Amino acid sequence: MPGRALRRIAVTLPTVLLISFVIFALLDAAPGDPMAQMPLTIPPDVRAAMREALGLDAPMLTQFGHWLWQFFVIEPLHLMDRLLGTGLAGESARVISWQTRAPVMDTVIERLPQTLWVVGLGYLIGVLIALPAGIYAAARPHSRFDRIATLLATLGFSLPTFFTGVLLIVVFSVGLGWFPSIYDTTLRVTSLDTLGQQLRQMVLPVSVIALYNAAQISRFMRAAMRDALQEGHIRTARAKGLSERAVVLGHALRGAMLPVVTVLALGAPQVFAGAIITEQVFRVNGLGQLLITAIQANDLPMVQTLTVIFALLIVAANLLADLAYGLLDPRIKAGVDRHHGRG
Amino acid sequence: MTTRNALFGAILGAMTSVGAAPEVWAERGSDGHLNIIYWQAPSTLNPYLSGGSKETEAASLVLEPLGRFDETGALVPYLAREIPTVANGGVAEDLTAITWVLREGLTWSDGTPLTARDVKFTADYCMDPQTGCAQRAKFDGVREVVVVDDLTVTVAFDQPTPYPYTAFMGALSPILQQAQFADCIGAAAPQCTEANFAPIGTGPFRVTEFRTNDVITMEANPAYRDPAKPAFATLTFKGGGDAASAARAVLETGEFDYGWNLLLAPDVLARMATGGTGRTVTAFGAMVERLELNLTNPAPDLPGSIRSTAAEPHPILSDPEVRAALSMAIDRALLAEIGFGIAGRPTCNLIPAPAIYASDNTACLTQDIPGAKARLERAGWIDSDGDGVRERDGIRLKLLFQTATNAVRQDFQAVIKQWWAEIGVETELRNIAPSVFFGGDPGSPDTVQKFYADVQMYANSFDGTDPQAYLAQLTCANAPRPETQWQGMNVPRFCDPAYDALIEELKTTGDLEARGRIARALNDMVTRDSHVTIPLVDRGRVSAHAATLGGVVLNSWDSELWNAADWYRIDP
Repeated sequence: MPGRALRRIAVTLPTVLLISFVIFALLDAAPGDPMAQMPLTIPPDVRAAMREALGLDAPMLTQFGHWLWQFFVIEPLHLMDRLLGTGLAGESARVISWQTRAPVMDTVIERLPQTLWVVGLGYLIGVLIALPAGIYAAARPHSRFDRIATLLATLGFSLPTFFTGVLLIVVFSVGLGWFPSIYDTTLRVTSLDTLGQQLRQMVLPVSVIALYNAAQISRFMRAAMRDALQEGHIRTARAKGLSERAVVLGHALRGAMLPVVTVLALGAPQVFAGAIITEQVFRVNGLGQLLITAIQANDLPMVQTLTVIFALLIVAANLLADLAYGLLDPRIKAGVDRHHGRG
Repeated sequence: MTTRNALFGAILGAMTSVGAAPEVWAERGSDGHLNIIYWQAPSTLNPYLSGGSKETEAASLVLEPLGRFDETGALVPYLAREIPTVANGGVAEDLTAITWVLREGLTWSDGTPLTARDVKFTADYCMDPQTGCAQRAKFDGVREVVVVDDLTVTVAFDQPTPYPYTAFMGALSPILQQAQFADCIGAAAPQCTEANFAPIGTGPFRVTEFRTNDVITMEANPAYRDPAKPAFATLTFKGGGDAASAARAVLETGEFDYGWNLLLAPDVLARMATGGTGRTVTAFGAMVERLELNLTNPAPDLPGSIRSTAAEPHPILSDPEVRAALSMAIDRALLAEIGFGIAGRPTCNLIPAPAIYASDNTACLTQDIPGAKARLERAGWIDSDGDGVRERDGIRLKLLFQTATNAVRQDFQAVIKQWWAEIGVETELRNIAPSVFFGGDPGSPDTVQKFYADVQMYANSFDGTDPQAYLAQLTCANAPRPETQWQGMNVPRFCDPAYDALIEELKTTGDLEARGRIARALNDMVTRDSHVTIPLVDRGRVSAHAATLGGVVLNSWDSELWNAADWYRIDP
């Protein structure tokens, strides 16, 4: 087991480097200019001087090496300094955004709370709805519950979040006036009253995200459970006279969770990537909004850093999912390769 | 209504409870909280490191220039005692220097006095080539800035400068505090995050928290020069999202008091405003949506050194009759109506305002399709093969028309294509991502400057109220070409020695009346007389404010928030 985990980790390192380089090269090759958002009234020589001040004239590989050093060495040192109060990083230059002229990581950290609260909670609630709904629907296929769940899932799946978000605002903010349409990121929860405000402003965006996630995951759960219920050992369990509840939860669930865990694990980094559209609609201004504004402004250091962080999270989630298989399926834990062991 | 109040009350706490203050102008901070929404979020509060209006406008609540432009474009002293002129002795007779005198007793929000040294420092800061200052052009031609005494500072120019109100005037060129930015000059400029995010200013508000690209919170500046202002104790400046939801937050839900730049489909905006929660305000400046015609040949088979340069004239558009016909076929009133509603009005001028520079050129306002056809006919452009497209000497009247990707512009393209089809001109449409189109990357074939098309459409205007630099963009030397790395904003590649001579005359004319006359003549030369640029719509700004917010005077010559110190809460 440790050997397998170490092997997996060893593979991820070059993956991350490769991803970083590919992202950097793509961004470098992409058309666009960080000065493009500036008004046309700014003359070209001023633009050229500004470009130079940003270090845009350096060759691509130099810029990449510089970024790599800053991101993987300087930034972690800064983080340590911040957490432990040490002075390891000193005065060394950090990854600076072209748009804001501020360290990229500071902005990322500033954006984490609202992203985790809103998108994280939306994901969590989505999962909490999806798993039982998927399992129940699979255990009672073609029942009324299954049909309604399928209908809702299809709706959640096919209605884009920019539509459901605006719909909820029009009904609940404009029409009824129950919830705010704009998220206040400066709100600090210090009392019951502010907690109420926080909950109220989260209701709409969290609902939108939860609906979307629940729709997707419940379909996976249902399909996986349907498959699991076809397996031989389920027939045996039923033949032994076990109750349907015991068959589904005790015997089928474990096998059915295997593909679902993959989906859940790979979905989790999306929480950090933010829900770009939902964040825009409700002005949650989390990491998703940060990424999209950086893309619009051609703010390469910001885009590069964010995308690499997301890539790292996805690689890590992959790794976790892999390790979780070991827990769910002892054959993998025992070192039996799945391809051979399962034929 | 009570449910609504109870629920909003919890969210907007401070905002709704302040309605109680009876005398809005009586006391600083007596009107509670102000909520402003900009659907583009400011990324910094240092206007010298950005150039975007979202940053300069947010910063205008904190930082102030020596003088601002009011809603009519007139100059108003802010930190200065008066606007220097030749008449009051502030501007040298030979037009080579301007001397500003600060008001007495001004202090920064940290309580330290504002002096002429801060003014000089601001110039040093922006003029340092390594700062990468976005407003460097404001200091063009400045030889030196000299501190005369604590309150007096002289800006000396290299040569006679008839319009010296660029540096330290308007939202784009406010005064920075030397003590705060002393270590932030040159290459160190971007590293000073703390100063850039929370500059110390003299304006009505000071920053309490800045979250980049998200939200700014401010409070009334305790050291503001008018002890009764601002009426609001605190404010939230929220950014992000899109114009439609910002409009909704001001006009429908009432969550915000002021919403910026709400350029929505005219009917959408009108419908939102019917509820009475808020109202829209408009102001017109010098922003003109125009077509520009390429006088040089953009044919793709030409070598890069010749394509779209003066070396090869345009096979079709070098004929002035065709250019005139293209202009005559357009119904500008309809374009203004469908594209901009209350925020647009048809224009024939490149310089639609201020009034003194605006030509009385209105002939183009009436669409004249038969006249356009007759013109083409007379010039020998005839549809001989009956396919609906005219030709002459084997050249078909076919044009490539490009613009930036934007819903209104694509509507315009479609309608104009239709009109041109009626007069026998075939049009191929193309749209380009704005970041590329306006990006100015000399390596890209799709920029405004490279103009690898026959016709293109975009909007532009000029800073401040003086059009000299803007008109000077159309001189021969400013045509983008390979030798200039495709820089320069003479996009049509217009070249007329008479125009260049008149520009030289403008540069040495100090008298305002005479400047107006010359500017109007220049405007007519490129529009009415030659149709090199075809102005379409004079684009105003549309913003919205809550019915309970008083004192808003929308200004298109300076920051929209220029008079936020005078804003107050109206009792419902």
